[in-house]
Amino acid sequence: MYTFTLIITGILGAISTFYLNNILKLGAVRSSAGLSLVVGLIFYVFPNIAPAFLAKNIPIVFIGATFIGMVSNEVIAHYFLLALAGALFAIIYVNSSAFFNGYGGALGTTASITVLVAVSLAVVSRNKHIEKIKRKVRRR
Amino acid sequence: MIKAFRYVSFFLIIFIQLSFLLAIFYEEIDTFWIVLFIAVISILISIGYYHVPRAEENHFIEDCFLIVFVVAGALSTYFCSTQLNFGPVIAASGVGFFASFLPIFNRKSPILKELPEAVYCGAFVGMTAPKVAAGIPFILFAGFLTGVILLLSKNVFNGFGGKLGTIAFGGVALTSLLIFLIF
Repeated sequence: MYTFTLIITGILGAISTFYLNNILKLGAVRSSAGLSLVVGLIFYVFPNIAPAFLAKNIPIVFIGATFIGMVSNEVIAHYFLLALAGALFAIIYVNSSAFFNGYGGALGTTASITVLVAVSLAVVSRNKHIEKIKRKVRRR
Repeated sequence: MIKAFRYVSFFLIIFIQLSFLLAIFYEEIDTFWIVLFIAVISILISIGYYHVPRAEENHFIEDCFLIVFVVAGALSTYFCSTQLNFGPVIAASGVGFFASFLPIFNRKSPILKELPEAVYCGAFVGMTAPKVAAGIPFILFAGFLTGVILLLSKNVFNGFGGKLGTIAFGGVALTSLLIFLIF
């Protein structure tokens, strides 16, 4: 259940930042930092609104997922891929290495890995062989 | 020369990402699903590297001031996080949010235009936990290294989510490695 909540947090963080950055044109840094500041302050002022594990990890997953939303709409333009990257971010975060625990930038590295996965999935799905399979499935 | 820097920074970022995945792989080597998951991700990101956007900008020496902004972002975030006890998330986002408004003072200034990204990149360095960062000198040096990597990677991974964080991670990891090797 906790992992599921973190996955939803990851999806929300990525999509909301992308919306502020690319649709409302607030800029990547302001969108990411502004949203993270709001979420961080909510859990700082009201630490008891969620179980201790979630109160500690939701702000961290959220700020990490906002890094995904900093992506330009020329690189990723599909909300589904962003949501997928956000979910993937939370899954990698839950399983991340204890060796790099506490290292600054680890969240950003995870975010860049998930963005690369989303970009490659977009490329793979446009592949003509995959398109053929998709058409066959649609016909059925 | 600029092309050489672009290649170096491109492969440095790839190296950082793969090291990160490799660390998870080694720790979870007994869990089949996680190993499979990491293997699939590694294949997918290898495909993604071919589609990374590249830019051609020849400014280089003019951008050295970026290093100062990165160090400033790192120090202010580390101070807010550890000394004022706000924690890394509020400290980094607060510093980044504040920096994002600085270009308003002079919209024509090319220096102020690049300031928010550099400060936010430094803020990620400042998110380093005190158990990893051995005091202010660590953050100063990690911030400097991050600034240099940011400068080198100006033409790669532009508009890519997570680029600044990956660079910050490179700076922090490299500083830790140097400290481990020297002391």
